[in-house]
Amino acid sequence: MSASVAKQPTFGLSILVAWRSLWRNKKRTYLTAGAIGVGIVLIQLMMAFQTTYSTMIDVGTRFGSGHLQIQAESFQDDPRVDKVVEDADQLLTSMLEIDGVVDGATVGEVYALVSNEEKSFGAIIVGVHPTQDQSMTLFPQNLVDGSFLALPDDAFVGSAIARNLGLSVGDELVVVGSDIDGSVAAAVFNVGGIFETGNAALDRSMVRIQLAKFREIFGLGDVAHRISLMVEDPENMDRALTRIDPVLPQGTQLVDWHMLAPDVSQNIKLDKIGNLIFQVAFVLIIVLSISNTFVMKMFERTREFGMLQAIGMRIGAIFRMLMVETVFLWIVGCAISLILAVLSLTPMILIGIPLGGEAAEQISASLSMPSRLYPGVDAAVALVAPIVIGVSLVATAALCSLRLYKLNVIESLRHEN
Amino acid sequence: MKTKFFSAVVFVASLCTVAVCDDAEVTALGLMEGALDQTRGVSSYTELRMDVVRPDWFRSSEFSVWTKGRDNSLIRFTAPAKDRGNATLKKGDAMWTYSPAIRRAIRLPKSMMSQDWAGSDFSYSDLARSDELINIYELSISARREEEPHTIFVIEAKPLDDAPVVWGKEVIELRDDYVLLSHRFFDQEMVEVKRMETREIGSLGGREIPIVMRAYDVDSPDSWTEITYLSADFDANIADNRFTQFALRGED
Repeated sequence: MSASVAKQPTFGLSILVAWRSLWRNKKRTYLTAGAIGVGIVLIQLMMAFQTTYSTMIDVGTRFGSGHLQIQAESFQDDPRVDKVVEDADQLLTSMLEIDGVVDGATVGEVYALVSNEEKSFGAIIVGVHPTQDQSMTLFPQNLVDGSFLALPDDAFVGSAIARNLGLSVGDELVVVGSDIDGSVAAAVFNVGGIFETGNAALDRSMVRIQLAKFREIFGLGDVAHRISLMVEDPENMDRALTRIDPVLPQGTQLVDWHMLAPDVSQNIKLDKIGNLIFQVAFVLIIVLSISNTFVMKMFERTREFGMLQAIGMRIGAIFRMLMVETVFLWIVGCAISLILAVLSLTPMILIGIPLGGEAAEQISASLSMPSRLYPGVDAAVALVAPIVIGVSLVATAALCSLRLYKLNVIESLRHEN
Repeated sequence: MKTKFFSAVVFVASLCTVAVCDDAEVTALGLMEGALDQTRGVSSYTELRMDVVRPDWFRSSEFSVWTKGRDNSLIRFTAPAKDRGNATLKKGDAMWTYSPAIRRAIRLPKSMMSQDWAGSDFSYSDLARSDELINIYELSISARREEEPHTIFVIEAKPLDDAPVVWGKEVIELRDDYVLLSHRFFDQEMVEVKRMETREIGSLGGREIPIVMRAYDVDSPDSWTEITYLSADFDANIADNRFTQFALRGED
């Protein structure tokens, strides 16, 4: 080593110097770190509420569709009374034995006319086992009058159908359709109960009856139009699918909730894209505003850098010191974000955010959202924002620090702020 | 989309065959109007068999049909036993269906008119069709040919711009004595989608009529619905009370 090159500071020394430099201007450091902290928490909050899709999926699939369905091929596109899954009850039993499948129901479904005196409308007639329907769907809970399929001849009727036909509990409801042979299928029911889901399409078009009666009217044996299943993790169904697929009977197909509840699926997709754009924009705003601090810092400290060079410190070492300073700044920002996150998330996790108001309730019903939102916190929510912002900060600081290499020692020493 | 087969059958069956067109004067509108005019005030009683054929399924049913003019008709199933007594009544635009199993008549809502009727390829609206062809279509004779002793007209019917019709056009082959030979339905790309054709012409009830007619999707010629006339009386004396809710219930 030639004598003209001074001994370079050790790594430990650069860390120490960086830490001290950071606190030379406490107010600015706190402000900058505060901005980083708030930015991290905001992105974390956004992500925490984004992970509550499972609730949205759950509510969206509990109005009859389920997470998965076994149907006769082409039933999804052309639902006809003769497109059935054979040996439905037994098939359901074997499906419920599959690991990852948590609940299920055999369901019959046809389009038919429902009528009361001179009024009649087209409706979807759904045949269900009352106990299965109780655990699989939210219809029984949305009862507004009467009872849920207490008697074999009872019909559980959407509120808008009841209103349009002028029906109340105890009245007669006539159902006319086609049975599996194409013959006229007709039956008279008693309106046992009325449900109101808030989803106009369902309230206006759906009549639920007991599956046994359904099979009798439409000339069906132990068959179903849909076998609905609930799985453990609807967002990650691959595992369940690989187990169900091999045991599917011939002529049937699996349809998942993306197809069964396309509105829920699309809402989620749209939400994800919107959030992503928002989050990227957010990171950009934070990073750009903080880069201003870096640029200022570079100008203010030009003399210091010249002096350090003059006493023999290499530019690389100065650069490294600045990077360490940035990492420290980031760590302080993260500490602030942690305090803010605990303060803001704890009450939200405990009591949730009420969406409030009748209008909001209607919107949440139509979007299949619950009336209170709860954040979901996992490793991704906790770590993604700090890491993305940290990496962006270091990159920005590095870009700003490239100016070091253009500095001339003499000029730097003469530099005035 | 269902064909307009059934109403065409009722309509053709109730035509009077006396008017043979004058070659020189004939227009498409005149032909269709003439054909429709034959049915005004005419009463008919016919017995039909309808076979619905699918590759893996077959269904045959029989029914009696009473018509008076183009507005009133009553159709009652006579076979199979399971369906006997089921009936459909049409009065003007309104339709009712009756099921003996529940002893109730139901008025059909407009929104249900496009549904299958009795498991066939026909919809309720097919049954209710009346003056559509002359009211919301532009008609022209696109060809004519001589098949002694008859002249056969090919009439092209294009729906008017604002017509509530899914077809791009319809092509009708009509004999000069108003015997319908075929009726083809084209989609908006002018590709033929559905076809209805007369498979047998014969004399029944004192008239030449299409005795066997078949309707099918051009894509799936092995699935079809065929209607066969078993008997016909085109001069039947039918009382107006044949077309009441009371008669619909079969309590005559």
